[in-house]
Amino acid sequence: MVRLIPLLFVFLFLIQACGTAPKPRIEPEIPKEVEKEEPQEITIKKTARPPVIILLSEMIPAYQQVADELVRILPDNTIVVLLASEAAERETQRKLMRQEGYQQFVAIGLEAAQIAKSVAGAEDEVVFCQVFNHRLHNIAGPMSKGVGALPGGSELFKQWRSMSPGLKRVLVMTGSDLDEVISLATEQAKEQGIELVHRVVENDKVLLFTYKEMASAVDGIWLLPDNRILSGRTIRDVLAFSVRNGKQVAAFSDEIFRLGALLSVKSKSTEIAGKVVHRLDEAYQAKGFPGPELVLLEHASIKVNDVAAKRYNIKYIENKELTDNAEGVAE
Amino acid sequence: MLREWLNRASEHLNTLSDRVLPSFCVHLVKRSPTSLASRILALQILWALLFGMLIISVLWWGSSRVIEGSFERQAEGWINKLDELATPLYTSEDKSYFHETVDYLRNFPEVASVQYYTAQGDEMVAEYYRNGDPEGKQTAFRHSSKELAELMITDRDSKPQLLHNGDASSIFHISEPIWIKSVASNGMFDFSLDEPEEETIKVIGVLRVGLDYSRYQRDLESMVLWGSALIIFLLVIAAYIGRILIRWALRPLRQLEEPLNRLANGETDVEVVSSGDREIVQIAKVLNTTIGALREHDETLRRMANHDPLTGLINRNYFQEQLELELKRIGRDGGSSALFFIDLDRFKFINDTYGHAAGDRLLVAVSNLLKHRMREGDLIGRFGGDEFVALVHRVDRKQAGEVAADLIRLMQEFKFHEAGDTLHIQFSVGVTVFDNALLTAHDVLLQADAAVHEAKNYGRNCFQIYESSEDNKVIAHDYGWHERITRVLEEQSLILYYQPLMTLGDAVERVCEVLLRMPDGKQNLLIPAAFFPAAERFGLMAEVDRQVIRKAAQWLTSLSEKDVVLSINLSFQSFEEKQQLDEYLVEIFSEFDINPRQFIFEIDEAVAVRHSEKVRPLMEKINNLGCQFAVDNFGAGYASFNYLKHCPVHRLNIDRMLIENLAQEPVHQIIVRAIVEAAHALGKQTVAKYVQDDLSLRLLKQFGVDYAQGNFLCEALPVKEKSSPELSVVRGGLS
Repeated sequence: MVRLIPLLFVFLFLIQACGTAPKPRIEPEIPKEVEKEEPQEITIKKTARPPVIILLSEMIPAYQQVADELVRILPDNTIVVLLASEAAERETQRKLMRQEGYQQFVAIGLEAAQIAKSVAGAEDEVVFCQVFNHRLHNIAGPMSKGVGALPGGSELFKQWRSMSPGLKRVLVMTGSDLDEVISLATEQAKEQGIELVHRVVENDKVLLFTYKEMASAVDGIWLLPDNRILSGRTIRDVLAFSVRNGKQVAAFSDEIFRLGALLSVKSKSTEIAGKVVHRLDEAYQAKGFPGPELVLLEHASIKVNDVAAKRYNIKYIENKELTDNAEGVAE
Repeated sequence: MLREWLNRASEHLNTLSDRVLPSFCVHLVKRSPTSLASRILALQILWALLFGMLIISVLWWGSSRVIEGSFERQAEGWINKLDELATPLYTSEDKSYFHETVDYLRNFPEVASVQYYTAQGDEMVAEYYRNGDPEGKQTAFRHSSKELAELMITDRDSKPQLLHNGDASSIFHISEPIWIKSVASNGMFDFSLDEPEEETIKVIGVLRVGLDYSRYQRDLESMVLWGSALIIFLLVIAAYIGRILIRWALRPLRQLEEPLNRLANGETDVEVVSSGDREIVQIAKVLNTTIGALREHDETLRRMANHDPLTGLINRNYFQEQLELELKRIGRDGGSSALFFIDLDRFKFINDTYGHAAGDRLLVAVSNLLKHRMREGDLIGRFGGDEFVALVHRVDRKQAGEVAADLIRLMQEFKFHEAGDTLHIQFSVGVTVFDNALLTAHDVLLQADAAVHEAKNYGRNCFQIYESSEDNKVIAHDYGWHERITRVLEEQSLILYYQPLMTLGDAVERVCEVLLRMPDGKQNLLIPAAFFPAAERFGLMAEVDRQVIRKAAQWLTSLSEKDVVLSINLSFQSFEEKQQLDEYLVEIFSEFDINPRQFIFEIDEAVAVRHSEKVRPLMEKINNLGCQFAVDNFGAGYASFNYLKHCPVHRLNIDRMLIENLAQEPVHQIIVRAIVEAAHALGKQTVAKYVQDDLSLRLLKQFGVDYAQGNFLCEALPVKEKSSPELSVVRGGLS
């Protein structure tokens, strides 16, 4: 069934080419409450522009939500293409896209970014997102720029501090080439009175070792989804160690609640989509592709593990804005 | 097998102990009877030991498995720990951290060695040895390249491991690769614990750990040994307490010991008292019932042993015992008592005229008469035949005379009715009054016997009191018989004669009847009729019978022919001896190597009938040895075939009364024919004694009698050693 989807999109592509492509529409979710700190409103520009083709690396919620949001924001002539898993089909897709001569690509995920970069012409713009480490894979370029994948730390540190006033030092370990993200996060933590201690590690073994070495000096750890330095076993070991030693963990997925994480921190697809569209607009309006190589995210979707909170004897007032997975955008 | 060895050892020691070893050595080897309590306790201890050993074995096995499992888990834990501790070694140039690791490892004696190698295994990164490197300094990975390649495999879920047990030491080594892993998926956007993402594995080194758990093994062994010792100690305590408890619980059984011991010693006036336990009450009831039955049986046997079965009066042996006791009492307390010897006059005439049954009835009547007359404490006995004795306590001469006169008067008034006739029975009574404890029972009897003889000499139907003036003559007279017979027996000078039986039918045995003569000291020989009465009276017949048997056996042994059968007369006294006749015969047959079938024993019909309860058991024993029996004087009074059905009798000697003048007595012919037919029907042979003429002989043959005997056929001949009996008939027309 999954294999049929690309064909479906090819069909849609052809139909659209004839001007009769249906437009998927997703009803936006309107948040029930609006807290003091509003998320950044996304300006929707439905300007006339050449069609944008959105490439998805794979059909996972993290990508799909962004795609859905983009489709909602972008004009109706936006194309969404799910990359085929088979290399031959993917090659066919690449050829088709090249033939069509798209000018603006949105790549969601690493593979999509790599494909988009290879398909896009010298004058074409590629905005990539949901790529964790674009430098490692040499995604960025003059006409290929992206939106960060890591969520901003402000909400996290605010929520975390409100739940644990005694939280003073938080460790975060990453691989190399994430300085900008970490710098921003450090500032954000500082605003909340938290010292963000950053260590660069080479692999999962060093991560675990370093964590155990430094655990006595920190109150918690912010586990980022750096696949270079994480393995399933290491994640379990880190969480087990944390639980045994009473260290609070902010993780990148709700799944890690089962291992004892206190908070989950995820990027907001609305923010990602908004920033992607903003970059597309900038690129379309300007000559060349202005802006930094990577626009970092400022916000995050925070969830609290009630079980862990009870274990740590943490009483908190649930911040719906922060804890709900609200993807809606105030219009 | 142990019991046989012990028995043999006991026999050997018995032999030695008689000469050399002290008795306590023998006692050590001899097994005393086992105690029920000890057996129960032994079984419990055995069971407890077996169970204990089983538990200890299971504990040992289980503990070993647990420890092995624990070791495996510990080994796994150590591998993981050491893998983690290796991180700085492989990620930095700083080896100082390893010193801390070494210090940490020294706290764990089970870690014998740790080696970290590069990923290629060709160079050691770091090493640790608890007690030096027993395998010598090596820098490269100590396994083959194939094994190293095995460790480099990364496409499995778990790390490959190499296990290697030390050949001589207790150290076993585990080798494992050191991995670093990373998730392949960029950004881990689709992270799931249940569906792990693909990971990239890289081997950065190899870890080899040597673990030594021998100390724990030793601790386990020590613990198990101590535990076993404790269990055994507790078992011993439990056994000791158990023994006490069991003995206490079985105490009611021990209460049975004393009465049972007394019963075993022959006392029957025992009563088993139970403690109240149900089982013991049951046992006590049964035992008391059994004791009661034994007591009755004992009484019966005592009665049979001490009483005359016909009259119920006490018999000779018992009477003599009581007489001895009376003499002792006189010696102790003084006073005098009297012994009465009562002889029925002409009893033989009545027996012969009216038959043995009539004679028995007369004896019973007389005994009843005497019982009624005598005081309750006085003793009345029957000495056999027609002789009665009475022991009257605490009477003087005058009173004894009165009693004797009273007896005479009583008898004079007594009338015996038999076969339509009224018979007047008379006594001859001999009385001796004794007050001298120095006398023996035998002396007293002699005196009484002398007195009764005197009474008979005075014409019977009177009494005579033994007078010292007559002592010399009477005692000498009676003492002569006793002395003569005793001397002949001591000198073994009884002389055997034999009289052959003539075969009339198909019988093939060569039979001779053994007859007896006693030298009178004057070159004459006395026939049995002359000395048998005295021998009976003095209780010497049993000894006479035994000497006859011995002499007959000696004669048989000297013969070259081994098919001669001897027919020997037995008196009733032989059935009363303490050493049973069958035991004596076994000795004789063994000593002279004789076939028991060469002996036939003749018993008077009257003895067989009157004393059947005493005689029959011994007859069966002797019969079982192989000897045969003949009933003598058959047809004289009883002629009853009923007892023959139950007695092991093989031959009937027809009474002389029926054989004498057979040719002239048609009734006797009918009787003899009937006897022969009945005997043959019962599988018995018949012998006709006292054949006197040829016509009688022919008739006997015609009737089917098997053997004939008599002086007409062959006179009695002296037995000569090594001389075969002359069996040819001297007279008679049948030869």
